Parts: sequence; structure tokens; C-alpha cells
Amino acid sequence: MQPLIVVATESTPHIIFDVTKNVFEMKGESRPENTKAFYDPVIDWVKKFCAQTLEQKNRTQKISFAIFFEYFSSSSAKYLMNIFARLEELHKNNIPVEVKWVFNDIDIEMQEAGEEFQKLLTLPFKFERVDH
Amino acid sequence: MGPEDNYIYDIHLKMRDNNVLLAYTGELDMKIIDALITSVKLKLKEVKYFPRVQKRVYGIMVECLEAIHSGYDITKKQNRKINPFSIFTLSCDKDYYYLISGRYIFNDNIEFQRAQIDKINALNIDGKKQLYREYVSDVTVKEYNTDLAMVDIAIKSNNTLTYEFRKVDDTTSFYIFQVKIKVN
Repeated sequence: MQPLIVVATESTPHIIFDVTKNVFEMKGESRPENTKAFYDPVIDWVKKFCAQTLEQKNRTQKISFAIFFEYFSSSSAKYLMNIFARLEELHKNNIPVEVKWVFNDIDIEMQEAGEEFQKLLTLPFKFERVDH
Repeated sequence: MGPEDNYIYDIHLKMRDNNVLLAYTGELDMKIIDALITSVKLKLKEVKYFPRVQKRVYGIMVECLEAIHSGYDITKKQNRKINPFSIFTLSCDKDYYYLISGRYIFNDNIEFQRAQIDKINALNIDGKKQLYREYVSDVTVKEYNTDLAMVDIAIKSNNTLTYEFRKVDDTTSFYIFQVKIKVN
């Protein structure tokens, strides 16, 4: 599967989803001018990745989606939820998957935002605080 | 220069007295929104309040500006024309930051807007968080829908959202929306 690589801008995050390297990262700020246009290809990629992973069934290597946002808009939140809901399907099928929710140590808002997603899902969340 | 130009000085005095950090009036497109957001980021760094408050102000501002833009997108989609001029200000005093926006709205859209805000204002903080969870869990994409943005603003501000509709004529009004954010 081809990796998905998106270069960050002032208003959109850096994304690297690479199955071969087992690297899944989203980082930066997410308030795209057109949220749908920005996230549709991301959702498509995740959809295909999940379908392919479910077919493999016996995957033992852990999938860790690292999310490290400084800010994300409410319209981006819906797309993040869409991504997490798809990853949750993997978890329900006993595939080792987690969200690694990274936030700056002073950014309580972002920690709480991650906890809100966690409340809505059975998908495991691991929280990681980093020095800003 | 004549007495008719005094309005510039009057505006200056009003902005100075209200400690306005940023003001914009005119048509809002995404390029201007981006410029305003960048400008506010810099302004907030100058004000020595708590980073958590700055983050809230920033987040609320992004949602407010996108909501104004979204409001105009809806009218475009409906093939209706409305005066596209908007106003947006960010000011502060020793207790609060104030984000105030204004835009034209069709009178037949007022009830929807009023109901959306009243529904949120009627809830306590736990109710607002529950409503946020409901909206964010609904992953079907509804273009131009501002429900999630408004409840996000209400949670971040932890204050009542205030609004006013000033009638312009039989078809349009001017919609003023204000958010207050405590500085600590």
C-alpha cells in the first residue's frame, strides 16, 4: 500500500501514514480552508488500510496512530472521529491498535480533547505529555 | 480634512477605550481569515495571560470566523445574495476577552440561529459536553453545519453566548454574536 504523505502548512497538519515502516503520524494544526477536501483522501487511505489489515487477520505488530495537534477545529474533530471509528473496528477484531495522543505539557485543552475522544470509543488511547 | 472626517478619530477613541486588540470589517474570505488568525496568534503572545486562556481565545476565534464564513456559504449555496460585509473584533479588559462578530442574515434564518444558541445556553457544562459528544460522533458530513462549532465555543468560553438581531429591512437583519472568556 502506498504511503500517504502530506506536508504541513500553517493551517493543515503534517501526515505520514506508512504501512511498510509502521509509522502513522499526524502533527501540527488542523483548520483547513476546506475540511472535506483535505480529509477525504485521508479517510480513503485509512478505509483501505483497515480493510487490508482486517483481511490479514493474524497481524501481531502493534499499530500506533500518533496524534500531536497544537490545535484542531471542530470540523476537523468530526474527521478525526471518523478515523478513530475505523481504527476501532480493528481493535474489535483483536488487531493490536492504539491512538497515541501527544500534547504539550502546558496544553490541558489538548489533553482534555483527547480524553473526550477516549470516552466515545473502546479503542485504546495512550497519553503522552511532552515538554513544550 | 473637515468635520466629516472626525469619525476616524471617534473610531480610534472607541477602539482605544475598549482595548481592541484586533478589528476587521469587510468581506471575509479564507485568505483574510488566515491573515486574521495569524495576526491574533501574534497579538496573544504579546498579552501576558495564561497560555490556557490564550489557547481558548484562539480556538474560539477560529470557530467564530469559520461560522461567519459558513453563514455566507449557505446563502451562496441557496443562490441568494446578501450584503457580504462582516465585522469582527477582539478586545480585552482586566476580567475578560471579548470576541464580537457581526454579519448580515436573512430574517427567515433568524429562528434557526436563535434556536441553535438558546439550546446550548440552556445547558450546564456537563450538558454542553454531552451535546458536543453527540455532534462529534455523528460522522456524516453536513456541509456548512455550525452546531458543533457553536457548542465548542460555548464549552471553551464557559459563558453564556450572547446575540442580537438588528432589523435592517423586511428581508435582512444584522446578527451580532458575542463571546466572553475569563482571563483567569
